[in-house]
Amino acid sequence: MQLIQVERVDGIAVIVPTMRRLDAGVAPAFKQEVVAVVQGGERRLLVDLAKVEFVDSSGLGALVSVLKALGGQGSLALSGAQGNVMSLFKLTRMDRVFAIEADRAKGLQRLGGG
Amino acid sequence: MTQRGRLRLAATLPATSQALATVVSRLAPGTPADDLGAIELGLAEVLTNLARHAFGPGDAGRINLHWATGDDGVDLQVTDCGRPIPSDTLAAAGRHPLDFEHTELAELPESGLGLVLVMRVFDSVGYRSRGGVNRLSLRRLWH
Repeated sequence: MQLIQVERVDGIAVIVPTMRRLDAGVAPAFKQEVVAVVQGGERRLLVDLAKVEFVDSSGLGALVSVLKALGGQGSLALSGAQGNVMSLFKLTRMDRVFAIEADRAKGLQRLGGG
Repeated sequence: MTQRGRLRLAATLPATSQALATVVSRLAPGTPADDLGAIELGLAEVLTNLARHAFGPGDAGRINLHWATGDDGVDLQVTDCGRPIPSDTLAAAGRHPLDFEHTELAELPESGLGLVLVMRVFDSVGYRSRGGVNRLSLRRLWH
């Protein structure tokens, strides 16, 4: 099952998860699909979480893995996190590690597009 | 509104998702939204931890879940007969600073935060392993 859709906007790969819950059941496969995008040469990634309603520590770990896959040679931003998803980033203080923007347009701007 | 409930589930990831949906829908009336989100996260981490670590491959372990809400919060009890959580693990998780602002990229955790989150979202966490039965007692006060 494909867990992400990839759109390209202004040279930025916009990753849209197709699932509403980024949890332990899907996190390993989600990570694999996004890391494959990085390995395919994309260096600016925006993960749009607007339609994701729940993320657990495994989902968070998958996003950390993507950050590591970029290895400081690219940029990752997140957009659209709200409610429980944003609460998780604040609770873990990962909101200080990830570049998080309110919506996709601001996320694209953050990465130099838009 | 006071309500009690119980659920028996297999210690697997698919059963975890299903159980969470059931518990959330049962608790939703009368539970503040922020508390409901925190309970869902904490319980997800507990059940995922059991699905991954408490039973061997092919060993279909079962988990019993009880909950009771009151005026000031919710109590949950999670019981299983699998491998117990090592004695110092919960205490260590409770001491985790969750401060990654100055952490090197390579040192950021890709896993291992589940029990840390459990200790954060519940106001009280008790654990007892006796006679082959493990019981995790969780309390969340309405915030």
